[in-house]
Amino acid sequence: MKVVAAWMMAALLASASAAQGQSATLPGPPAVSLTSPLLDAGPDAASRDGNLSLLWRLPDSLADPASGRRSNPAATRWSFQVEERIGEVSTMIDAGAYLSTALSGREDGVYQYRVRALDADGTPGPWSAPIELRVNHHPLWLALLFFAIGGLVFLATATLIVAGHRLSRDPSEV
Amino acid sequence: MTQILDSAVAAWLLVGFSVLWVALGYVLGRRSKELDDFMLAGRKVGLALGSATAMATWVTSNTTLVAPELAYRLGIWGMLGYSLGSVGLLLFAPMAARIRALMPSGYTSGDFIRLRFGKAAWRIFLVVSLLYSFGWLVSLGAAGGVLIESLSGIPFAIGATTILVICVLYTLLGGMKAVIGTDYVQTIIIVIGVVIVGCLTLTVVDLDHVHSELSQARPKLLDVLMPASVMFLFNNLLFGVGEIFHSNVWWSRAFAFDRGVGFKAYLLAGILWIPIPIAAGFIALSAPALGLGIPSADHVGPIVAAKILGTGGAVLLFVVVFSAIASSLDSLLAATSDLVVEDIYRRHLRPAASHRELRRASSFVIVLLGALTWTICILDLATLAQILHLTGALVASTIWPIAAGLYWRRTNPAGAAGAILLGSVGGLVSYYAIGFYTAALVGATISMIVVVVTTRLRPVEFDWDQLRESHT
Repeated sequence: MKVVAAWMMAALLASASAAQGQSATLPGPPAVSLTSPLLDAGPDAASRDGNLSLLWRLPDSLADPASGRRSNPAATRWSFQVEERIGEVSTMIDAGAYLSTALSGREDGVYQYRVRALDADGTPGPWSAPIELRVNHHPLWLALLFFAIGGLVFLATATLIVAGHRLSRDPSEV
Repeated sequence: MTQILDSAVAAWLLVGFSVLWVALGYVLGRRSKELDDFMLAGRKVGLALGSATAMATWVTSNTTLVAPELAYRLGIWGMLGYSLGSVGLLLFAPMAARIRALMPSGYTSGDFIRLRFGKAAWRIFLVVSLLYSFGWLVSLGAAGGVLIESLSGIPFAIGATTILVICVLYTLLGGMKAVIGTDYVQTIIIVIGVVIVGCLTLTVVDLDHVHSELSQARPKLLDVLMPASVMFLFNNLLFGVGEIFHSNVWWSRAFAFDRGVGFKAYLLAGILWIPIPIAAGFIALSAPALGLGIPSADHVGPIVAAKILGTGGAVLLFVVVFSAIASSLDSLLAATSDLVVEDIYRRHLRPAASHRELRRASSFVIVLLGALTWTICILDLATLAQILHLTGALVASTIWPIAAGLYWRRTNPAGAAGAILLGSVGGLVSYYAIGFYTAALVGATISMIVVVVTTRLRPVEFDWDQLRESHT
């Protein structure tokens, strides 16, 4: 269920996607070896729950974003490093030998990402073109409203069952 | 994809456990010739087996793979919220006793809806129930393929095929007795495995370091007021309640348990289940501290376990999740077959069918369900997996019709049917408009309002004796 559905998540490093927006703060472009970025049709340049996914591929990769299956012969040669920037703060993220990475727990804001490959000696290749993703959590009042409604429904259900159980020693008495 | 477990080791584990489950299923169920034996284990299942099967069936691939995923995505509330799935089992405990008392000769949840509310509500309910059952079957088959491929590199198709074939085989050989018997063994494996992984994680991982990494890199995971996770809490609870209240997987057990067993079995299973997702979820929160690359949130459990425990951990995880998938898949095959045979084949097509004919039909439907599930899994239509998220709206809308139908003599039948319909629609709208973590909550709320209002305005008296239908 969610296991397979999760594989459909987006992201990716677009070489020159105006829709994604080029960042003025990160140095540009593109690496010859990191080419043909593929932006998955899925979601979310914007996240409502602080979760972001990045997906990239190399020219000899067998990754197939349409099905979500990822096999990666390049894993024997490359590992990947992602740079995350929000405002002036930059963080390096080790993505291992995978062709994607899942990030979670982000606060509201606009995040910029780019990725590069590292060879077996750890020598980095050039950075890809950056992309921009946005996190915009649901308003807290909405969340608390749902919480209150859910609590009410749960209490009403539990009350019905507990009260019904107590009264139902003889079904004909209910 | 980085391979964690050697393919040869994984293949031997697969073969070994496949032989074990099929052999066990054959031995346990070889005397299941009569319909009641095959479908309901002779209606005499005791407390130990009863509790074990309830718990094992509810420990699915979702519990062991999705609980870590949700903790990774939604933080503390994701981890604790998933354990609220036990509430469904706890609330079903008194209901199981009520069901057994009201319907001593009952076979399916569909029987109850048909007798209690009439054919219109029954047919709407069957659509909901079969959609959910099939979605869950596909997700389990696919999860088997995913697990085996992600840990060992064995192709998805082989893993999914293997797990489906062996579950169909031993369910076919022994029916409900085989299902419940293998569940008992699988429960022991799951509980021991999760406890070991959880305890070893605590010895390897420094909690202070975990906390500081999360605070720094993923602060929202520790925020108890993160909006999505706050919404998730009661939505997940109501999704779980809806799954259990409506699904024939749990009703068939209520009918199969011996008198007086149902209440205790479900209560015990609910209590024992609570720590499983918490232990599984905790593993995921360790990922940032371990500096691990996580390609997708649903892989966090296996990756962290393998990192912490090495090859041994990967083997343990493989065995635990394989057992979890098998224990749910066999139950679902058996219960869905019961629903199709009783509510569609017998009630719509062959009312005069003998027990012998129905017994043969059950076997045929099990094979058919397995084949259909395999087809969808192998096509690898990933988006199909999202159907199960959608069923949160559908199944949660059945909570109040079922609960009020069991305990209130005057529940309005048309109101019950309308509640399922309107709750489903409202839940689906919420799913797309807001997010998956609201669908069940909205569906359950609308359904509750419709049931209460229609029953208040137009109560319809019901004679409980009408539920004592003889299956001759």
